[in-house]
Amino acid sequence: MKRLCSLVCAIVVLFACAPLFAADSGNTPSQYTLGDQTMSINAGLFIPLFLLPTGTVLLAGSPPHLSLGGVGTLSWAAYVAPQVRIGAEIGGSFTFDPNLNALLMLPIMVKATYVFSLYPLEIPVTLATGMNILSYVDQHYIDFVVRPGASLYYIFNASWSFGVNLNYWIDMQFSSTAGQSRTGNFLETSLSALYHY
Amino acid sequence: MVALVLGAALFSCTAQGGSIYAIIESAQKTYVSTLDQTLTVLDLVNTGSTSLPYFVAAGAVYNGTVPNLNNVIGWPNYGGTPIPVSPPVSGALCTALTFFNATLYGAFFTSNGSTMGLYRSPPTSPSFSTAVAAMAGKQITLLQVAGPGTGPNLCAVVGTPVGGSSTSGFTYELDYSPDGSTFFATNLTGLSTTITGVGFINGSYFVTAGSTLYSGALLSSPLTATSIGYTLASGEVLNGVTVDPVAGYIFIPSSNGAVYYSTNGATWNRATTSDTINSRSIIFLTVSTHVDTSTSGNVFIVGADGAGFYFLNLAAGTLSRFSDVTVTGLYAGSVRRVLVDKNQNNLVFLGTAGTGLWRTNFDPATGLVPSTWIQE
Repeated sequence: MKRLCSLVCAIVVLFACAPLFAADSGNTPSQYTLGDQTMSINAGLFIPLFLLPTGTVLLAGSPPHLSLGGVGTLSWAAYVAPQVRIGAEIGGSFTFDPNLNALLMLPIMVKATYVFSLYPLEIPVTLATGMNILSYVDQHYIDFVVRPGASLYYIFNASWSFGVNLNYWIDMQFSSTAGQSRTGNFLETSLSALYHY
Repeated sequence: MVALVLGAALFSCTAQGGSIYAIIESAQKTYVSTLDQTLTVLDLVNTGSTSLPYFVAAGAVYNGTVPNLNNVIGWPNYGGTPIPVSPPVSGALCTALTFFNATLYGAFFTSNGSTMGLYRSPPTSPSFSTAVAAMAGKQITLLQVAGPGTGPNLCAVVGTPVGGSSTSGFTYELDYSPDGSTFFATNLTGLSTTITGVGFINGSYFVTAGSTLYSGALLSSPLTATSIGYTLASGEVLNGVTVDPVAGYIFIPSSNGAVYYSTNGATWNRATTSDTINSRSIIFLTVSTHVDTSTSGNVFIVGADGAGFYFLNLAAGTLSRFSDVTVTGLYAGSVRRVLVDKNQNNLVFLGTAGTGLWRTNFDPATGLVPSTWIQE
């Protein structure tokens, strides 16, 4: 458990520090202006990590509590400053329990992004939050989700960028039953295609 | 955004309580809970283990868990189909099964009808891979454990084709083994009717074959025909022997609507039913060990051919038929084997001919009212 937490923290810190490296290398002025918009489509791997406060490692066991899963999102954003964009995102993810029952998540989030530019690369650092609709067997919940993350894009041309995302999902599920509240921690690694217009 | 966050926080509480993550946290792999519902059950065994104690011989041998908190018994499976215990060779079929000296013993023949003989398996991680050399190639029709608690014997009924051809009928003999490896023949050989049961009570062995009851103090000494205390009807045959060491009874079901029972093997009693099916008497096939219920007196379950099962109440001396006609596969089924596991709240299995394996609990609090009928 501690080893897993350390690994996750290291990855998150590494991505969080990415802007520092960009800053050291000289942050290239943004090529975008107020009113420019982006659409991105993302798809990748959804990795269950652990539950708090119990510390249950979700990939532990044979079969595990939850399997590796998939995630896909569609995101829109508009620049409110040359390096800041605000937008919304809708997505979906799936994982499976030991009996192959699917845990489905449908997050609807608002997000703010600060974009470090290092042409031809971009490093957006994002904080998203919103509601996460969960469905599992006959149970349905709406959770509160916070999702910090970072991406690395290669600017292919004026319209298209391609890259990878690393997002950390913190899904808070409150229960009216004592001792049943949990916070699910997940890691999303996904490929992304970003369209500027 | 604030409204969205607050809305999410508000809706994240549910009236039912609990949480998805808490459920997932405790979720366990469950096994498939359904066997083939047209099974013909040849034998039922309880090894007494706490995880996978139940074995069902029905051609293939299936191994089941104790019921979980949702009262589901799991059968190891892959892709939704229960996997049988590994037979000696692929496709081999089990005709008899028993548990002796902490080992499973199964009689097998190949899928094309060739007799294989007797094989043994450990009760955990079971696999019938070890042949019992002394019984190689023999056609075994019954396996039963009988004898004093300090020295039980594994008894095997062996059928031999007359003249070497199975089309000319069989003769039957009773063999026994004190250790599961070395077998000895009793004096019951060359019988033209199959041996249907072996039991031991009050220092004597009892063996049923056709309409004859044999008894003797030792299997190594001649077993002799003995009286069951009643004149059997014409054509009446004795269909097995069950000994309940806890209640201290020996039972012999018959084809004429009767169950004979005794506490000492010397004085016999008889419970009968006048029920008929198609103008014939009820054919009783087997008797269970006793079921603890709130009903006064010892209660036993008696399997019947085409009539489901009967409750045998020794205090009242009555046989009363299970009467829930809505449980059609059981009510009109032929119950060949009954297994009672008192350690699981009077869990009762009823193995039928062609309508699968049935299960219920007779909770002492509810007497003879079954909890729920489950067709495995």
